[in-house]
Amino acid sequence: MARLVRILLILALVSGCSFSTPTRFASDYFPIGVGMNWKFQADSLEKYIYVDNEEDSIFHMVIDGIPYDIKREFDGIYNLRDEIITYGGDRIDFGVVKELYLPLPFVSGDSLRDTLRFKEFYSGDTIDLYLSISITVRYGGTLSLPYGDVRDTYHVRRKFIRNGDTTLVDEWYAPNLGLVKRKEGEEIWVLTEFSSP
Amino acid sequence: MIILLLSWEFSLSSAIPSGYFSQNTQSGVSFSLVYEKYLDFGINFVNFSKEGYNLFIYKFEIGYPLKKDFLHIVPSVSLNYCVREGRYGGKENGFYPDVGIRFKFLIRTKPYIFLNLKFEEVFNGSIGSDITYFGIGFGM
Repeated sequence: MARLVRILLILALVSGCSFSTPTRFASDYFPIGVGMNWKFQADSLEKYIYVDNEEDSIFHMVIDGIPYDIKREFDGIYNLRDEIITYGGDRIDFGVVKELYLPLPFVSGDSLRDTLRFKEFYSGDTIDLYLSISITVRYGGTLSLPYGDVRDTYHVRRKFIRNGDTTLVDEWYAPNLGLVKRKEGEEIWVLTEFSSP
Repeated sequence: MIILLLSWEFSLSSAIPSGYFSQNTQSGVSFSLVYEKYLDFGINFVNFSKEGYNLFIYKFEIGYPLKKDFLHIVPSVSLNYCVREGRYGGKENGFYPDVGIRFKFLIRTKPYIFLNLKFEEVFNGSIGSDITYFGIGFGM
C-alpha cells in the first residue's frame, strides 16, 4: 500500500509537466509598467510599443508613434481618449471616452459588445458620435514567432465602429509578455524583442 | 483507524495576478479521509467569486502521513480540476496538479477537532505560484 501511494505521487508529479492550465489561469496577459518595450516586425518595417510614464494609475503607452492612455481595472484594460470630430472645419470635442480595450482575465468564449452614443450641439446642429466595440476571445494555442515559440496564447478579435467606419483587428496575447502578434488588414506585426526594466 | 474529517478552508494565493482580485483569497469545504497508517485522501471544493468572474477548483488530493499522532505531516499531491466562467459568457476548464505539505493538528476529543495548515505550490515548469491554505474543522 505504501509503495502504491509513493508511485502515485511520483506519477502525478511527472505528468504535471505538460499541463498548461496554471499558466493560462495564473499569468498576466497584459503586463504593463514604465520602461517596458515591445519591438515588432511588420514586413520590412519595425514597429514599437513602449510605456512612457504613469500618472494616477494611468499608463501612457506609445504604439507605433501614437500616444494612448491605458488604465487597468479589475475587469480589464481601458483606453481613455479624447474624442474629437471635425465639423465644418471646426473641432467638436466630446470629452474623454473610457472604452474597454481588453476584458481580463481572458476566458475562451468571452464575447461582448459595447455601444456608446454622444451628442453635441454646435451652431444649431446636432453632432452625433456613435462608437461600437465588439470583442471575442478564443484560446490561441502556440505561436511560432521571431521572438520564439510562445505557448498558451489568446486570440482577441476586436471590431470597432466609429460613425460608420469599421476597423477589424486581430491580436494575440501571450502569458507575461502581452501583445505578441497583431493583424489589421494586410499588415501583420510579429514580436521580435521584449524588454522589461 | 479511519477518520473522516470535514473542514472549511480558506486560502491566500499568489496564483491569480493581483490585478484581477483585490484580495487573492479563496474558500471552500474539504472532505478528508485519513487512514492513519498510509493514506490521507481529500476532496476539496474551493471557489473564487468576485465581480462576476468565477473560478471553481475541485481538488482531489492524496498524501502519505509521515507522522501520525497529534501532528500529521502529510506530503501530498493534488489533481485539480478548474472551471472558469468569464463575465461575458466564456467558459474554460482544465486539469493541473500541484504539490504541497499539510500539517494537521488533531485534538483528540470526540468528535475530533482539528486545524489544518497547508502550503502548496502549483506545479508547473514556467511559473511557481504559492497557495497557503488554512482550515478548521471536525472529524469522527
